[in-house]
Amino acid sequence: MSKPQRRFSLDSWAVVLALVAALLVRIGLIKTVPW
Amino acid sequence: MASSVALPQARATSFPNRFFGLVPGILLLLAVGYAGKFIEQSIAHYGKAHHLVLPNIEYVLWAILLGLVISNTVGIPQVFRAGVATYEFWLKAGIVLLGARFLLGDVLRLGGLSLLLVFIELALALTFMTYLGRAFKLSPKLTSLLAVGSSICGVSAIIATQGAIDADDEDTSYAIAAILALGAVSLFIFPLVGHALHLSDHAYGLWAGLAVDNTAEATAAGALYSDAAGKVAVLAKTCRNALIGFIVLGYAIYWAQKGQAAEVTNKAAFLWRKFPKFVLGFLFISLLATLSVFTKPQLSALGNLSRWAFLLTFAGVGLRTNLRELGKQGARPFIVGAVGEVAVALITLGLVFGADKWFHL
Repeated sequence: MSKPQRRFSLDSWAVVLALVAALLVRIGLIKTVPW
Repeated sequence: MASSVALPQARATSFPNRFFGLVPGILLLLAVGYAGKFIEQSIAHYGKAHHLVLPNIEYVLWAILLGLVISNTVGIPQVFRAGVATYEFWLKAGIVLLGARFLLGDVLRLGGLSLLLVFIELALALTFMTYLGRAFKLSPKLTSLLAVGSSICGVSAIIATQGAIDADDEDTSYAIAAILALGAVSLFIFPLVGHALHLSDHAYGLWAGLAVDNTAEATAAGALYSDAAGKVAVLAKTCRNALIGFIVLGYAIYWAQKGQAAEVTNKAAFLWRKFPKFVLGFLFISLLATLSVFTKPQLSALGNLSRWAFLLTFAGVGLRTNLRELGKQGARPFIVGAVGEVAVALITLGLVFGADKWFHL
């Protein structure tokens, strides 16, 4: 029995979040991230 | 990398409700992870102020220990559970961002070597685990699940395989419990063995990435050794993860031929569905870093964002490990898993020593 598939997996959302973060850093909206 | 435990299934609740339902658990991850960082820094400051040489215990270990104490004493109240389960999400986002700390050339060199070792490890581990499962008279499908879990990618590989070979839920939970318990043990044993053998950061990272099952535990085991070892461990583990689709497809075809699982009609679509997409994100960010799309301070910011994402992950590793639940699963799958893990650890250690000798890691 096939399970309903999510159109966008959690895996893909994690990639999207990381890419958005990278974009924000690139355009200067996030300048420094302390550690 | 257990994708299944990441978020609760969609219910009749609205998106805002589900979103805000995650907030308490994510804050708990942050609090536990930050407490780990605070303890590490406090010990370092105390040692410096009093001119004492204290062991540098990384925040990774403190975060995991704090999480373990909370989950095995007071437990995780329901309100936090959905948010705590997002730790896998942060792990994947952290791996993608970690790509900024690798030049593509390094990825190809170390990744190519890792892939070569992964192929050897997979062949030996799958064969050995299958033999071991038969020797201990485990059900054939449980044996398949344990073999996949210990050789390739831990919990997510088991879950991907369960769907593909129509394995019982009970077998699946046995295999997951064994792999999780052994992953927790590896966290403490691997750094000790690495230090005892004076492994270099690269050699140790490669070993942890090849031998520790779950991506979260492999990342933590690497980071416990050193920052550089953590990077290499993630890269090696990512190479293993990239092969998950092929292994699951192999098992799906095997069980379908025996008439005990559904036929795989479209193999390319099957492989794409099982392929961990964060591997592509990692390579993409690494490509951007190689093309100098980011300045040095921007690379540093991305590296730190990745560290914050891993901090949430390490807290989650401790918080989701319930030792009592793991103990309830029975001894036999655990013994098979443990013997298999020790074998995989020894095989991969031998491979890493060989690679170190030939390729000077």
